[in-house]
Amino acid sequence: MTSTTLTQRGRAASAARNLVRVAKPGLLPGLLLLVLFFLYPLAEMIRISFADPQLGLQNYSWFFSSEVNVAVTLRTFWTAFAVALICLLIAYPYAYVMSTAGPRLRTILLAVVLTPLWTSLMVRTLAWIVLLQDSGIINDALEALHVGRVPLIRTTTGVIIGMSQMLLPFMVLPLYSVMSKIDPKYLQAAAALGARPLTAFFKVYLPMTKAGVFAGSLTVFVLGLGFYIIPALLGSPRNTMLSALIQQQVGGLLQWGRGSAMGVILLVSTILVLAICLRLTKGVRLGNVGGA
Amino acid sequence: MNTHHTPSRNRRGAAIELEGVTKTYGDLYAARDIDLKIEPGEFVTFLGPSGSGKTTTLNLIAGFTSLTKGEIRIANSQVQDTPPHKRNLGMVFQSYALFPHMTVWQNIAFPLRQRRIDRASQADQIAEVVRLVDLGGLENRYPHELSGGQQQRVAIARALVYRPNVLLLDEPLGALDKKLRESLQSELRKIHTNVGSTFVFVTHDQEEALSLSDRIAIFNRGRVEQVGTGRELYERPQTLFVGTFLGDSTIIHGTPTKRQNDNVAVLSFCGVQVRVANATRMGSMLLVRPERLDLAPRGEAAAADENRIPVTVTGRAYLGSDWKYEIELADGTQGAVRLPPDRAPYDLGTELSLAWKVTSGVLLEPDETSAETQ
Repeated sequence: MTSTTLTQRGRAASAARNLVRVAKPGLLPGLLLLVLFFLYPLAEMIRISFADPQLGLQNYSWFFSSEVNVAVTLRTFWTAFAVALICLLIAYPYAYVMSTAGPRLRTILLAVVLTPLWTSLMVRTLAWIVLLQDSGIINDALEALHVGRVPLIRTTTGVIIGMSQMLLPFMVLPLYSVMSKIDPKYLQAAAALGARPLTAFFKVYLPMTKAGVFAGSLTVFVLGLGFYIIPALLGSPRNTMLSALIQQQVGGLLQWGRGSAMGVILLVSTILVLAICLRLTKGVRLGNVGGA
Repeated sequence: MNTHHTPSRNRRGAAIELEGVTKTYGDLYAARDIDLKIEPGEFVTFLGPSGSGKTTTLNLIAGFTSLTKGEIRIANSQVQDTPPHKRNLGMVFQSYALFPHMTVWQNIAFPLRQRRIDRASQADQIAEVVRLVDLGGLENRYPHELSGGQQQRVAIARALVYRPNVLLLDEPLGALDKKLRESLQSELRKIHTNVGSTFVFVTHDQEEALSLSDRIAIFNRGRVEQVGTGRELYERPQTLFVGTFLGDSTIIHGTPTKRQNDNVAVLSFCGVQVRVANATRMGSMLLVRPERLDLAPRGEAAAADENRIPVTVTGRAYLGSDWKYEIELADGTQGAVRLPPDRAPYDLGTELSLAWKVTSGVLLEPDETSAETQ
């Protein structure tokens, strides 16, 4: 109980200290791997962004002087945000049903969530290409329902649909983890105290799941920012995302400096968003999401 | 407890009536044909082993569970089709169920907000109830910053602040240690006197039930076995389950031989005639409380109003307020006797006579589900 009064940072620090104390020798391989394959390349990327082709800020001034770059960056963030929101709206009721279901239904629902994670990303993306075609199943169904055909493939809408499906498990799992720990007595108490079911949900249940909402949304949002294959296959060059632009600079034009600068900008803006979110969620005990 | 502070207390508890209340889960009866009438302002405890239907019955009154059959009336109006948030009852849980994201003040204000009470009155009512449960100074704390006892006080305050005429308490002290439990018990009693609402209290702790309640309803296998004051239940149990569940007892299992016209029944036990006065009905089992029993040397003549049967001492414990002896009857049954602490102790294996007044026992029939010896 006392640990809950610690600050977020204090908690993280003490957790890290405990981890080091408990598993010092066991941490070594992982630590080595991180330094070698994550920290070193990261440092190298930052260096290149300032040093290629020559020392200076030219890569950054190029990035911000190009309207396309800024537009793509904004689109990337907007897409990731939309995906996080859609995932949240789908996952919240789903996780709720999961947390209240009996053991059998719960296992089935969990398997349904996890199946996409066990299927290859490429296979799923190709399946979406088939489904989203102008003459695909979805558009046929929409026409049959007299909604009319909607352009889906090669649009941002199509990209968002595909990404939402891929990222849904990352929203469902932390939400389920938080919800499964909520005693149904809280809702009974709210009802006994005179709260209508909707009030009980918004004033009691929803705030208690805040940690799961933030954890899931952040995960989906951050993962969404770096998506490459889905935007490339389901989108079109007209609505490209930042990762594709980086690939174009590095892989196509061999502009390592520009590509690195874009990488740094993506990284910094992600950290910025995370920092803002953590500030907003001060007091929310993200530790509750444990096990997600 | 601020007895000097008396705000308008024209409120009274509501009567609760259960008629044929039944709840089934598949073939399982969680509550079966329960008939119970609780008087306005009464403190009634549902006592029974786990799974006996006491919490189910409380949940039926609260409206968390729907009835399979029967009728529940609160303050003379039927409520079985009213959702819980419209029943205007107070409810206190064993797990407290305080909203973790709200301060003590916000928790207590929650029911007032649902009732759209203006802020000034809210503040008055909260201040009053905070004084009642002695929580002053903790209003801005969060539940996780409070001890278990404090959390339960907040839960009680939250359930009383809107002055419900019924307060339901589901093992509210079950999670607390013994000492705290006892001090909160006496406080609950005072709060009950103070607010005048009807209290329905669920527990499996018989001491708690005895020290708190006006009346106790003993639950067993989904039914109410007996309702009465603690004394009635202890002195005059109507079923073997009630007799063995509440308190210790020695049971003499004999053969009914005759019943005399002055309400004296005679039981034959291992060749000895045992008389039972005030026997309103016949039964083969005589239940006598340990403190009504005495031990005397073998061969001493019995007084005119006394029964004596041979026993052997099998165990002995000094408990401060008395000696507790375990004895074995002639048919091998174990029993318990309590003697004053100043009596010279008997050694284990001593052959003695068990003595008791003919007015001290209750005749019962064996039932198919007697309680495990407590």
